[in-house]
Amino acid sequence: MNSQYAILADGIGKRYERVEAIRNLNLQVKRGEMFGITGSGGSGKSTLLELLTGIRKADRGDIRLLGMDVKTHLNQIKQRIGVQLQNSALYERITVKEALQLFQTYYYKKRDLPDLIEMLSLEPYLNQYINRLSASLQQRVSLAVTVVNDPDLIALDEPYAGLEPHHRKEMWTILSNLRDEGKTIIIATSAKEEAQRHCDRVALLVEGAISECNSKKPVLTVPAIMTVKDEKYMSLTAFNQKGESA
Amino acid sequence: MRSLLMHTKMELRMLLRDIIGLFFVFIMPALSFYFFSQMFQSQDSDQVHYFNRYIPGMIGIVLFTSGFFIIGLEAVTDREKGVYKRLKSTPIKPFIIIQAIVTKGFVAVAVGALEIMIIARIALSVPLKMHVFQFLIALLIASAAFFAIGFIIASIARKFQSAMAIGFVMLYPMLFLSGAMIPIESLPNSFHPVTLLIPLTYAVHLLQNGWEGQLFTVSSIRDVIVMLCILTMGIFLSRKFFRLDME
Repeated sequence: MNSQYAILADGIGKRYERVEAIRNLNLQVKRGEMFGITGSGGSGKSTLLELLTGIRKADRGDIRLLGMDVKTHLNQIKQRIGVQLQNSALYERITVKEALQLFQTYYYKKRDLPDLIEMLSLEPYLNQYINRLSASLQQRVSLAVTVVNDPDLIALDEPYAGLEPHHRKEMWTILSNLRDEGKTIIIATSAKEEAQRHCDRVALLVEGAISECNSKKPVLTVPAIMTVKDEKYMSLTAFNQKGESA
Repeated sequence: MRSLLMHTKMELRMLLRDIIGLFFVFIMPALSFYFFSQMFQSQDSDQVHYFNRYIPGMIGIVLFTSGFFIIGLEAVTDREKGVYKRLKSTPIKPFIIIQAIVTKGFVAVAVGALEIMIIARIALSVPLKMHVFQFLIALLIASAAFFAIGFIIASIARKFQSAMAIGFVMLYPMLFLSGAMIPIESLPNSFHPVTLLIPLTYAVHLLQNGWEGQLFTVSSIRDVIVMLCILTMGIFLSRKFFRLDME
């Protein structure tokens, strides 16, 4: 049953000193789904994404990615995911081509580079230094590096930050194409409307807990994510489990 | 293995494109070497003796600038910009990143040292009378200690500006009070105790002993102990405080 889910998080929590960044959160994302996490600044979007991709360790709870436990199979998981975090960057004094080649050496599975370059229209910029590219091109290069291993799961944190509307649209199109290839995409973004327009489901994160989850398509029979503190959740989950197995 | 090779290759390429690093590791020591030799060589009647002390001294400066600019400052800058955070999400192991940085440091030291020797031989027509093996061992020990200093700085400083401030506070005493550029004997007596507080003093003395074939003598013991202490402290502090991702 688990194999149909790319992400399964059960009761995860994370605390930074006095701040409870993520509170007892449950999440299920199906394979091939484009899932958005929205919320205001400080709501825990980035932390959640970092927990889900194993970059940070959760204080409690279990996370399974692509059917594997992040605690025990992190190396295997990293081979099969592509992650673009907020406030992360590529080396500045290397060219686009060098960045793609460098990141490809980290993985066993590699996406065909000419195909990737064509998909993201990077051909004219291959020999340019990354720090000399415009913000939108840097984002495109960053996305190219993220999918250099042809990942099954792509996790992106604010991939549209600082981009002009037409560049944002272009990025959403690229992501939709990747989703159409069967990849699971999870995006943390503060642009709620855009996320609702493009994602299959969108969850709203408030103070480290999911307060609502909207589906564009009926991906799951009932909302699969809520906080455990709500007792009704327990009965809903039980219903959902039955519904799924049926 | 392929990741390590590729990462090291990339680090070396970035070194060639790093203006600050190139200036402080290759240009500044070379220019200082040439001009200070013009100023001070006449003070020593024995020219060979003078350059036997002065060449390893200037290579000591290359060690310091490599440890600071190539290792410490670079690590702080890349971390601040989020490069390591990006790498953290990939399967690459942190030790590969660190190994590539250290290899880059050794290459910088080797090239910087060769550059000083070439200037001495060609521009200043100085015969290079060195004990290659002993000098290489001394260079290896001192490099390891100064790379450890680079990692200590990267453990302490979170931002480029703070790392630069630390570097410049360290730079001038290292340049002028360690015996690297100006012979310690030429300094006023009141400065002599201060020279003992500067790590580069010991590195320079060790390199001079290696150059002159005196490495395996009692005179090197104190220098080796100081270098090993710095290395041990560097490893201990880096393991405890150095983070590729500071967040």
